[in-house]
This record gives sequence, C-alpha cells and structure tokens, in this order.
Amino acid sequence: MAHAAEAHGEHHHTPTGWRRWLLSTNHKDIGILYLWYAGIMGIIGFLMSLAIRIELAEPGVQFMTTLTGGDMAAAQQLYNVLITGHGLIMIFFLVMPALIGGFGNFFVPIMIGAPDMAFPRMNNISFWLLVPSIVLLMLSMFMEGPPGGLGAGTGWTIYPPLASSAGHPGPAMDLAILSLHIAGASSIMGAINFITTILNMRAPGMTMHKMPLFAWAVLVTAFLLLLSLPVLAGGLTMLLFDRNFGTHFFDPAGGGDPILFQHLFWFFGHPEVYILILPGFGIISHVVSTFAKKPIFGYLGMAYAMVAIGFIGFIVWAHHMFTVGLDVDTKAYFTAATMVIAVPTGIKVFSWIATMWGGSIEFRTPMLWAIGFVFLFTVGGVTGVVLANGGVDTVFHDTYYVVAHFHYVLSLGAVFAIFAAFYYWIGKMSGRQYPEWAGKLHFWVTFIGVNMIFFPQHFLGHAGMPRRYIDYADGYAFWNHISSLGAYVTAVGVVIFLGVVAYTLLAGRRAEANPWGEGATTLEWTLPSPPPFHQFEVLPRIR
Amino acid sequence: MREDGHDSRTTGQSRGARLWPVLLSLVLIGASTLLVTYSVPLYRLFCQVTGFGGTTQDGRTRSQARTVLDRKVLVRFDTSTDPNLPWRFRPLQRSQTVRIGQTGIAFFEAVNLSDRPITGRAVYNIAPFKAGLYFVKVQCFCFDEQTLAPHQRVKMPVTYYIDPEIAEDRNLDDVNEVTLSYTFFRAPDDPPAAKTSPLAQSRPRTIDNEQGSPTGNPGR
Repeated sequence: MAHAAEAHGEHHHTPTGWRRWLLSTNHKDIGILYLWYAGIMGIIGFLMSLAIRIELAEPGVQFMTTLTGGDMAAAQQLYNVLITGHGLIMIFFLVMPALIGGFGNFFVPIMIGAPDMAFPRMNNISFWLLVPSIVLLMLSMFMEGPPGGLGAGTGWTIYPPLASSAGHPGPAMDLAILSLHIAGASSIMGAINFITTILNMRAPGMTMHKMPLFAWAVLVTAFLLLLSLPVLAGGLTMLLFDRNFGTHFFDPAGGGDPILFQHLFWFFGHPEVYILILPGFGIISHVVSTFAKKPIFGYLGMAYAMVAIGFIGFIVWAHHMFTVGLDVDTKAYFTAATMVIAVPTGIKVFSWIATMWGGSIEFRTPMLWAIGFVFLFTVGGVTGVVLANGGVDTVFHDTYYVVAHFHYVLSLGAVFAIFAAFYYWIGKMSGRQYPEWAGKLHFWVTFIGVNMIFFPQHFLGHAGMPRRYIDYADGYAFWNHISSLGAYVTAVGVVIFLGVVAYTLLAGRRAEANPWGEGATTLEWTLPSPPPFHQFEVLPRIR
Repeated sequence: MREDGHDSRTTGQSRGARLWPVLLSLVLIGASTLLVTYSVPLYRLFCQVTGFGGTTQDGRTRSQARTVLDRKVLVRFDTSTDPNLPWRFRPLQRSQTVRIGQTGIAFFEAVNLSDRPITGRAVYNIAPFKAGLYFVKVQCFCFDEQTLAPHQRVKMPVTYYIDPEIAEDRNLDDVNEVTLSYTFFRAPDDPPAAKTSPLAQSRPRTIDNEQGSPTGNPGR
C-alpha cells in the first residue's frame, strides 16, 4: 500500500466533489475531515455540558424537568445520560479526532518530510468508522436503557453492575458498547498507520532525534493506543457477553467480580488520559518555540519525558480505584508510582518555561493559548499529585475535586492545545489567516469562563459535593452558581470561536507560507499555504 | 535510517523490510489482547495469592499440622441473601473467639421458603480485606452449590482456622476481629422462579458454561 504514494506522484490525480472527501486517501483531506468532525462533536458535547451547568446553577431540579415535561425520574435519567454523553463525546469524538486524527494526519507526514501516510486507504476507513460509531452512540440515547428510562446513564466509565443487565437491561447500553468498539477499531488502525509512517517514511536525514516533538508525541500516543485499546475492547466484550450471552465475568452470582471490570477499564483508561494530552504536549512545544523564537529547551529530554510518561502511564491504573479495598501496600505503591509521573511532566513544564526564558516572546493568539495551557495544565497536575495520595483520595474520590482536576488537565489542557493548534496552523491548513484581535478575544473570554467553571469546583469537592448527581444540598449553591455563570461566559467564547472560523474561512486574508517568522522552523512552513495536494515529490533533505 | 540518501519508496528496500513497524504493531496488539483474554484467570490467581478483596484461603489441600498461638481473634459472621433467591439464610452464632491456629467450626442455617427445589451458591469474603490471606477454610458449604428441596431446612458447617503466619505479618498486628461474610445467590443455571423482580427476568440465566461442576467455584 505504500506504493500508493508513487502512483499519486506520477498521475497527479486530484479527485473532486464528494469523491474527494468520501473516498479520500489524502492525509491532508482526511485531517480536515477529522477536524470538522471533531468540531461538530465538540459543539454537541459542549451543549451537553451547558445543559448540565444550567441544571446545576441552582439547587433542586428545574431545567431537566422542563425538558422531560415534569417527569422527575426521566429528568434524573436524562442528566445521567448527558454526563455520559458529554464524557464519551469529548474524549472519543472531540479530543482524539482533533489532536490525533486531525492535526496528526495533516502535520505529522509534512513534519517528517513524507508525501502521505503509510496506508492512505486505512486512513480513510479510520475516519469513516467514526461516523457509524457516533450514530450508534446517538441512537443509544433514544433507546431504553434502565427499566422505563432512555439512554445509557452510566458515566463514561460504564462500571457494572450499573452497566450490566442489572442496571441497564435495555439495548441503549449495547449500542453504546458497540459504539466504543468501533471507535476503538478506528483508533487502532490510525495508530498502526502513524507508527508505520513515522518509523518508515521520514525524509533523508530526518533521524529520530531530529524529528519534531509533535511527531514524537503522536508516535508515543500511537503506542499507547495499541497497548491499551485491546484491553478496553476485551473488557467491553466481556460486558457485552455478560449482558447478552449469559456469562458472569462481572456478576458475583456466577463467581464473577465487578471489580475486575474496573481493573480492565482503568488499565485502558489511565493510558487513555495520556493519549488525550500527549499530542497537546507536542503542539505546545512547537508553539512556545515559535513565538519565543528559540529552539525548544532540552529537546531530547522533552521527547523522552513523553516516552517515560507513556510507560509509567501503564503501571498506575489502580489510583482510580483507591476505594475498592486495596490493601495498604498496594495503595502505597500506586501512590508512589503516580507521583513519579510528576517528574517527567515537570521536565516538560520547566522546559517550556526555559524555552520562553530569555526569548523574544511575541504574544500572538497561539502563544496565549500555549501559555494558558502551561499554566492551567500545571494547576491540574498539582491537584493530580494531591489526588495521587491514597489516603487523601479516599476523601476526595468521586467528589467535584476530581471533576475540577481532570477538567483542568483535559478541558483546560487538551482543549487549549487544540485551540493553540487551530490558531497556529489554520493559516497553513486553509490558506487564510484568522483576525488576530478576534483570536485574542476568544482566548480571554474562554480563559476567564473555564476558570470560573472549574476553579470553584475545587471548593465544592473540598466541601464534599459528590459527582454524578442532578441535585445537591443548599450549602453548595453559591459556588455552583459561579460555576454555571462561568459556563455561560464560556458559551460566549464558543460563539466567538465559531465567528472566527466562519470569518477566517470565508473572508480571512491570504496567509503567506510562514506567517510566524524565524521561530517557525518545522517543514510545514517551507510549503505554501495551503500546501499542495501532494507535497514532497522530491523529498526534502534534513541536515 | 536512510543515510544513503535514497528514497526507499522508489529504490531497493524490500516490501517486507518496510513492514516491520506493522509487525511490531500487531505483536503489541496481540500481547495486549492476550493479557485481556487471560485477565479472568490472572485476576483469580492474583486474588488468591494476595488475598485481594478479602479472598479467603482454601485449606482443603493444606497440611493440617500447625502451631496454636495464645493470641485470640474474634470471628464475626454475617450473611445476606440475593433478592432473587427465596431463601432465609442466617448464621447460628453471631461470633466466635478462636485462638490463632485453632480450628473453629461455625454453623449456618438455610431455609428454602418456596414450593420448589432451588439451587444456590454462596460467595464470601473476609473483612478487613487484608486478613483474607490468613483466613483458611478447611470445609465450607460455599465450596459447592447447595440444592434445597421445597421448605427444606439445612444446617451447614464451616470449618476454618486462622493461619499462624498472621503473627509474622506486621500489617495485621492490629487485627483482633474479623468478619466472615456470605451472600447467597441463586445459581446462575437455576431457572428463575415465577415471582422475581422484573430486572432479574430480563437477564438470560439459562446459558452458562462455567457452572455445573460439582466442586463449585472458589470465590473470585
């Protein structure tokens, strides 16, 4: 299949119309498809979170009962379905498609000087599998889940017995499981494609130790996907069999154990959170280096810190399960191992700061997002070190402190990285540059909004407010109100972003090949904006 | 990799040599799949070796020679019954005090409240969980499935001892009370009675490939 690249080079065959997109084998077109997909899913996932925050703005159940016509049980189930859908969509259908499928597909081949991905047709099916996957997930919201209720309201962790036929006997859960299966298959194929591309198709002179950090990040991410997704697939299959074919993997009545599912899930789930953030690390490195006009500080340390994070990510999973009854030695191990992750992560944070140190910093929009990322990701990392303590986590487990922690690293980390990448590369991808003032406005509104949402949730968690409930005690009302106001501010930010996208694509000024100047040194800036349909017919030579 | 300056896509290098990353990927996927395929036996082994989750030890194959220590432990007994199983199940003593190493025997009573024979099985653990490693059952009704005729009442023994090794483990110095807990479930291959909860009926309980062995299934 690698021969496809030759064939393209000879014929200059450029498909048009629907064939260009549906049958696409071009890494840039597939990257664009992924980005549109992620954008649409991001809006759906955001609207779900907005509904959650509207409901939680005041004690009592108001908004969801309005949606269900006053039916309280249906309102509670709807809330559960929304938090489940929000989690799954943001993880599997926004962050992964945007960072890996979108920016990864578009820029990894260009950055390593390759003409395309190693398996262009597999690249196509990786993307198009995501369509049936999201269709199944959406369908599940309208099927019976628990007796008399619609949808799968299990949270993204789908723990049995809530997710087994005891809690959700209806077909909604089966559809959600199949949706995740398909999304997993898509990601595995994407991962094989990236590994083969990066290990095999680098331009002459592009050694592993000269490779841009974003390519390193995607390579490590791809390995994490390969090792973790089969475990999720296995766990999901066991759950599916428990539900439909009379096995008892997770059912104590037949000698099974629901805790086994948690082990399997988190053996996947913890590497998964690094899958979400590592490509962001790569992007932030490029943005910081470009706008500080300095090469990245400690390049090799940055690359191998990601390798180390990926490796340690596989041996810390039980820190999500401190309350299941692990003995004290096991907790001590998982606490220590989890804290060790702070070391390579610290190497990255300090290297970003050292890159900026003494640099000629230009505060363009991507740089604002990148600095925002470094700052907020570090806040989330620090609360992560707090939660790593088995004893402390016994108190904080399933409180809003945990919600605040993982939104600081994901919503404010991974999503900030996506926005940094969007502003950094939109000129390259579309050939049109965004209006600088609008990008900055988007940043500041979003920065204020998301901090208003999530910072008070630390206080709520400290005060003991549990996750995953539609209602709360009156004592939590004040900070919940602030948090919901933050969600409305963020909604303004989303509207500004949609305006920026529309203006840029329709009327943005033409972007030159390199709008960022001397700091932008990777190969994509040597190509015109947008890059030609097939780049590097004569391979670049890296010295 | 290609320091010779040739582009491998147009020159030399064989297709097989270029596919090694794919093979590497497939090996990794295979390793991961193998891990999850064997997760159930691995987890069972892990629980038995570490006493995870309060898994007790099976004393049927152990040597019965051991020393009896002066240190005493209060053993409490706790029972519950799954709502799908129309039995009454209770311990005939709330607690016993045994010396470490000394064999204790406790009795439990189960009554089938329904008009038809029903097979049940008990799952069990010990609290605090860390004591599971040292709680040894020599004989237990929970090793096998139990079938009770309509309205039959049975008295079921458990023979156990606390392994003297517990004295060597500093982590368990604070343990002078343990609770042995049983939950009786309807055996998965037992057809549900006419009157059960709607949730239970929706679950297919007739197919099972693990059950039916007379030795039963030791817990996790």
